[in-house]
Amino acid sequence: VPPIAETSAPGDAALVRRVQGGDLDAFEPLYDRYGGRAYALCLRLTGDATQAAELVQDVFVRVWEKIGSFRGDSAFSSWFHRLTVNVVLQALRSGRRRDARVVVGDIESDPVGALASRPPTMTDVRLDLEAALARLPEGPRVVFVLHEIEGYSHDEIAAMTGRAAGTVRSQLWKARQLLMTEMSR
Amino acid sequence: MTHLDDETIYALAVAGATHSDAEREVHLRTCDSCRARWEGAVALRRAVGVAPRTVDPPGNLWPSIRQSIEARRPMPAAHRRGWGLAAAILIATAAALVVVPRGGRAPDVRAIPMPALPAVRAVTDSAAAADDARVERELLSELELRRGELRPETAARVQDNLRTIDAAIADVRTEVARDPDNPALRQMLVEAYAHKTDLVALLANAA
Repeated sequence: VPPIAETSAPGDAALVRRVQGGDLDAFEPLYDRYGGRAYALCLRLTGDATQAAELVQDVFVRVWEKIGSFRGDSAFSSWFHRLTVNVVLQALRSGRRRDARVVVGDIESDPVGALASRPPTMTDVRLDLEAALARLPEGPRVVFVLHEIEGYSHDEIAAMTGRAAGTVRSQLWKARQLLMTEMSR
Repeated sequence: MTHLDDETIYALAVAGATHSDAEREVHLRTCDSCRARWEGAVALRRAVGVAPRTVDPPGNLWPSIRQSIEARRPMPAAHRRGWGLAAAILIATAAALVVVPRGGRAPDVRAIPMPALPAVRAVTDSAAAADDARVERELLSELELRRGELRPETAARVQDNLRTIDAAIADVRTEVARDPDNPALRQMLVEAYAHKTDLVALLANAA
């Protein structure tokens, strides 16, 4: 799992211990800290803002249910990140993905709207990427996001998704080719 | 020179320079197709490099997360007691009716016809609550009419148990008033009413 420096802020361990003890109030600061990270990941993996928001809720409910099994052997951020990926992949496998896809300018389902407050000099580039990712087929999109953005290896992705390593590589190339075409327009 | 393949173009974009291979550089300058794909690859690499690690969700999702978790949490003992008491009374009273009916022979409880009960609904639905209350009143009236057919000790026990169930319902209603957004409490209240209706229906028919 790639290191996530910005999500390893001091205080996680204390909050986690309180949550493990059943303190729901201590869970909200963890949501504040990791909600945006989870949403970014869910959004890119699904390409659907509405589903991403639903999955973020599923992620935190799952964290609540599973946090007793977190022993602190790794950083909470890494454990949380992996659990988030698993929740999304499980949802995609179970066919919960909606047909609706993100279209730039669609106010109801606008994954890039949340990015509008970012520095304007890079906004256009980000909008292009988010919109292009949303238009990818599911398989190549998931592999591209996990490999290129999240930093997982081919083998790790193969293990997580249950696909052959060769399939992962071919889907990654498919995604790159489609995205190169999209970004050159 | 033939067109560059996508892998080569992407590798050149990753490397960030094209001048390491003069022949390829010349090709990229002169071939619009390959040049466009190379520019697309460079733009893609740049976009990935600046992709934010966090994106604010649309609105605050925490309230619904908290609500979902609370709905799954084991209920505190004080909250469970009222519901459990009502259920226990229902079972005990039904058993008593089977065991000690007036007239001696125990009826087959499976043969006791049950009236069509209203489906369990959220008590916040005023129309549904009114409908449930109407059914309950009708059943209580029927029970009152047939009270004389019950053995006196059974009738007394029924009256005592109904009071206890009503007290349990009142307790849950108080908790709902304190925490109206708690779905677990609302569901508990709905189920408590359903138990009371079931009990009254069972008694009315058994009588």
